[in-house]
Amino acid sequence: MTLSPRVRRASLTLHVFASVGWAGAVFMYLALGIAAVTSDDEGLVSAAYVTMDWAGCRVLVPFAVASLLTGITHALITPWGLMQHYWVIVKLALTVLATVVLVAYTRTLSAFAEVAARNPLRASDLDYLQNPSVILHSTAALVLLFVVTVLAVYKPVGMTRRGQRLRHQSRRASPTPPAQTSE
Amino acid sequence: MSSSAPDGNDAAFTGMPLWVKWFIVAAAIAVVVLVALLVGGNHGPGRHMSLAYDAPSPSTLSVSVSTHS
Repeated sequence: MTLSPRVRRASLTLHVFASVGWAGAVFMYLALGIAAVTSDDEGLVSAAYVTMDWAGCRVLVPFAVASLLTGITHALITPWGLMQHYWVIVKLALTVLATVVLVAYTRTLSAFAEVAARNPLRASDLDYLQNPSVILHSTAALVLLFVVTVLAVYKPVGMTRRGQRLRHQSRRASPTPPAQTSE
Repeated sequence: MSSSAPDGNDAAFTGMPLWVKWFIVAAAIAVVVLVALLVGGNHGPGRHMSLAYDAPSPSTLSVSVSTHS
């Protein structure tokens, strides 16, 4: 189902906006994670985890889900399709993986925030909070989002069997000169 | 994703491209490593949850001691 260019452009705008928001939120988590791990200020460490827990379900997960849904929608209303090109499938798989891991990790963040909310913090609490879990997960998420962005920009060639069949059928239905490859 | 139409470069491809095969190999390795971490019990939300709920705070301890004494 291919819609008009105006609708497709609006869909692409929403997808890019959601994806940029997601990446920006992950960058913020990386910054908060670094602050929590490197700081000796108990208040800062505590505030970082409480903020991450609060924003997880209100900012990070909504942007991730929005990016996933707008990406699926955009694929379905453009000639690319959802299961016709390998790069679209790989991008979808990576986005689903990142979203699932993110949703699961919100439980971990809640556990961190529960410890961080203790007043006063014990030395063992501080040791527990100053582990690099958030930094590792944020970095992994950023690497994955970068790979997804590279796929979206470069669109490596390769059609699935379904994509080749659909293209063959559409060419037989409406024989037109082969597309120019200058794009 | 772009809203532009796919070009005709991929018309010559009949099988799975090499980059997809390499991606599948890398993904399989990543899955094995993740499963090993999760099964080993040294990773995942459960590790943090247990620590968070098992370790009572000093205020909880003092309340507990004062009620039992």
